Amino acid sequence: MKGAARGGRQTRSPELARSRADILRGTGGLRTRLVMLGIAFLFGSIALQLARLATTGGLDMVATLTEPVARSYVRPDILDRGGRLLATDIEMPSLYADPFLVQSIDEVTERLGGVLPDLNEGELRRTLSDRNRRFIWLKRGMPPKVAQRVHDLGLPGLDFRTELRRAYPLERLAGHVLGSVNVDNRGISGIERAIDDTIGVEPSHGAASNAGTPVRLTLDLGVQHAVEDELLGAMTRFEAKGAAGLVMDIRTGEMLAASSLPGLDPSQPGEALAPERLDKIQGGTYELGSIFKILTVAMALEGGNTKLDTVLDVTKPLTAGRFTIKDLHSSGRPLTVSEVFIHSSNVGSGLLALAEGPDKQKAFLEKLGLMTPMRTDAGPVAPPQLPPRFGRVEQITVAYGHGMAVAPIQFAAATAAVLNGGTAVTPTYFRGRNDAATPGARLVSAETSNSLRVLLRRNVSEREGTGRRADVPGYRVGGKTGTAEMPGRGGYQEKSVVASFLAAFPMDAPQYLVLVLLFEPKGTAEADGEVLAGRNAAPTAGRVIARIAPLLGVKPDGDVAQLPAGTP
Amino acid sequence: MKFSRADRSRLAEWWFTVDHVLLYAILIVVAAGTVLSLAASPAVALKKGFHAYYFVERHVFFSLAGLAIMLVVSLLEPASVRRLAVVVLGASLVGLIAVYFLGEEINGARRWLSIEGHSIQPSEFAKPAFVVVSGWLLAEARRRPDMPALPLAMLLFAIFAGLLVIQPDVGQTMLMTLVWMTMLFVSGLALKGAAVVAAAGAVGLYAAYLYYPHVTSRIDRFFSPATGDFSQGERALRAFLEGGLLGRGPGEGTIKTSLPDAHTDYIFAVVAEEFGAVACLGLLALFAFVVLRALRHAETEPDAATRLGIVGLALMFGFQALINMGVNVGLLPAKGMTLPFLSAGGSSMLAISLTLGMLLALTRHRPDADRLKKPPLMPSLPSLRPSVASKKTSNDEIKQ
Repeated sequence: MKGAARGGRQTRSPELARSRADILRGTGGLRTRLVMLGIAFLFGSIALQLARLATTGGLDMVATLTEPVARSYVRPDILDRGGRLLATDIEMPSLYADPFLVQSIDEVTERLGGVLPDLNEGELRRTLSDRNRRFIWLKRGMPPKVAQRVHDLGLPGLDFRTELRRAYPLERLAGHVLGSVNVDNRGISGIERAIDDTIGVEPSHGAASNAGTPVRLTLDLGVQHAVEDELLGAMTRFEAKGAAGLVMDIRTGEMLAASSLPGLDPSQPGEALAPERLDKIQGGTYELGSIFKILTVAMALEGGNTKLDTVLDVTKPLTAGRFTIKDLHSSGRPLTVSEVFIHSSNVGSGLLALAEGPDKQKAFLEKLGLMTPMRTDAGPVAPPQLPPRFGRVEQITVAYGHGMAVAPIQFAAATAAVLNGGTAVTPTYFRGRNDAATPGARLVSAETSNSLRVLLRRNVSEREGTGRRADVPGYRVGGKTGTAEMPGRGGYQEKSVVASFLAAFPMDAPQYLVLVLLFEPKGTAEADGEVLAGRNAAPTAGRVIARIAPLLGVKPDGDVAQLPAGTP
Repeated sequence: MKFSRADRSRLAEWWFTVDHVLLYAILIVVAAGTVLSLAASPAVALKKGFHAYYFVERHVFFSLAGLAIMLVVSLLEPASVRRLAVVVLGASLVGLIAVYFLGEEINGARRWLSIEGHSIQPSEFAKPAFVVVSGWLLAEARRRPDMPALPLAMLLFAIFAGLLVIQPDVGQTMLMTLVWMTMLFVSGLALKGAAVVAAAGAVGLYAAYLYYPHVTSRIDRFFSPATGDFSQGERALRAFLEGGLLGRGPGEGTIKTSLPDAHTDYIFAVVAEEFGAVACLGLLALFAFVVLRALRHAETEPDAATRLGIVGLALMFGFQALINMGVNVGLLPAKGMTLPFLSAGGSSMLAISLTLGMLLALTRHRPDADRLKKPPLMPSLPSLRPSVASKKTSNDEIKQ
């Protein structure tokens, strides 16, 4: 047909036909070539996209896709101020099942139960029966040895994915501060939560990737361990139900240690639900008792009408409505303000507060930040519980630390401001957040601060001082005891107390603040049958300071012969 | 295969004139498709309640049947190819009309004709036939302006596209429009006309976007993935990411179990997950090679009808692969388009075999055509007089 057509054309006008064919062929060839270029371009762009997808690996869009994407988050390491490791990510096998490939549910349940006894058999049986699902986590994060044993069972349909799991090599040490992470390696409490909220964490798909710069905390591992060790010892010696302690840089607010016992293992977040494991440093509020008198005296001195040698008549009990407030061991004579502090006179403190009036008292507490909720890097602090109004009774009781409950860390921050020369302090756990070069706002005058330093030191150094058992030769410890009766059924319980000691050292130019709390200590032989803070919390604080002062590089002074053996 | 040069049989002649390289490339594609059907389809077959190798067996059967069709069709002379195309086109247009009245509605479209238990998709067979007939008409329009060939070609396109649109099958309509427009361009249509045709195509696409809800939603989803679930496409993309360069290994993929169309529209993603981007690039290169090799023949083909036939057939094959791969790698909105020889599906496989059979036939080495051949873009060279053209040529001429 084609031949015939061409033949016909040639017989008509061969030359003309050929030239037309040439033209046609020419443009046809050119245009075909253009088409080829276009097609090559299209194939090329698909090849490019293929290469791009293949080399991208697991990019972020995958995360938003479908169900069985094993996803965990990459977290930065947490280090103490000296660069020692507190928390890190490690790769661990996680066991999952593909119910579609499981051959015998009975066999899997039975044999897996032998290796992983904590697996819920009923639950396992139920999930494995759903053959439409292709991916079920059975156990997130297991030791490689256990994983090997599961692998050796040779059960079809089970497999592992490597996931990042958070590891805390120091177990319970600083557990409350560090907080914990959930099953996907996201922070849910404490510093871990703060890392998610402020620094941010990257999702990952299995293998470890670059976790970013480690987070450096203000905690000092040595100090933290000394505090926990001494608190644990005190809990045993005084048969206390709990204990808490903190060490703070008195000028910058950097937390060197914070411990609450019984402790918390960050790798077992469920522990945090137990009431006795509540974080007593910032998770609970307590009536702190006589250590509040530091603030009462500071307020009186700030008022201007009171001096340390002002004499108060404390011989008569104070009455407020139906209440009568008197001192436990009345000295039977009028006392100076200094003596009121050192003898821890409730009546004297009450008189000081009444002299200032409710407005000034409230304003002073407000200024110190004790009336408003605060938060630290480790999360929100339990908000202070305040008296509904500052009447006569409330004024007197708050003056000696009752009728108002605050979290110990909030109280420590307020006291630090009173003792450090008078400038505000914000507690922090992140190294480098608070700058020592820029002091906070002035809260009390330098003179007031100096007077309080003297009082605290005298309370420890003098023979009749309640804090004398906290003294550590060479380190000029100053402090105040507090024994607060705990509210219970039917009013305050005389024998159930929170014994506390607030200390700072060295008192000539305070560097560190130490707060020790013992919850419901017993009158053991060690404490001469008493539950007073001077018998338990004060010596505990002394032992803590004796251990941490050398670690912190505080230089001892005075009579070197006074120093206990072994102290550098 | 061994044939004596003295052998004058039809088969021997075919063997000496067919483009061996093109033939081998196609055979590799067919073989790869059979192997890869083992990767994707058992999972889907089990899910649909068939035995594991149901789709594999069908794939092998249709591959063999397709190969037979391809080889038989490639034996034909260009003129016979056109006659065959006219017959097939006529039959499948009848089929398309029948589909409209008798077809079973699946997923909101009537595309399938059921004949004695076998499902046949007439549009698949209409495509290559339409392309060849259109090429012929367009060539005639050039050669004999006195004949109303161009209006006839337009009318044919309108009928075919109309039948596809009422199914509705927007994907195939777009594919055919694209191919037909390119053929118009190659046939020597003035650039002004080409622009008009391109504009008409764009208007058509916009109309499809406006009037077909599923097209609207697919395109919307493609440009803003948040508005729909888009899950097949996203899962497919995940397969490419998970596969990486070398893949997770045969049988290790998971995408095939979660994609309903893993064995048809998304087989490319299955390949990517199990065999990696390197294998995908290999397949891509193979498809590109077949298309470009065929187009090279078109470039130097003196006979306009044959040239346009080659261009149309090669582009149909190429665009179909391109669209399928483009959807898989997330460059195009979701579109029901099979990957030639890899996707499961009898009609598609046989129709593609018919397409490539015609392509092989048209690209055969024809001594009479060689006589007319000149290097492209150099019309000034002297040419031989074509008067000695004849079907029976001597061995020496074949070798040139």
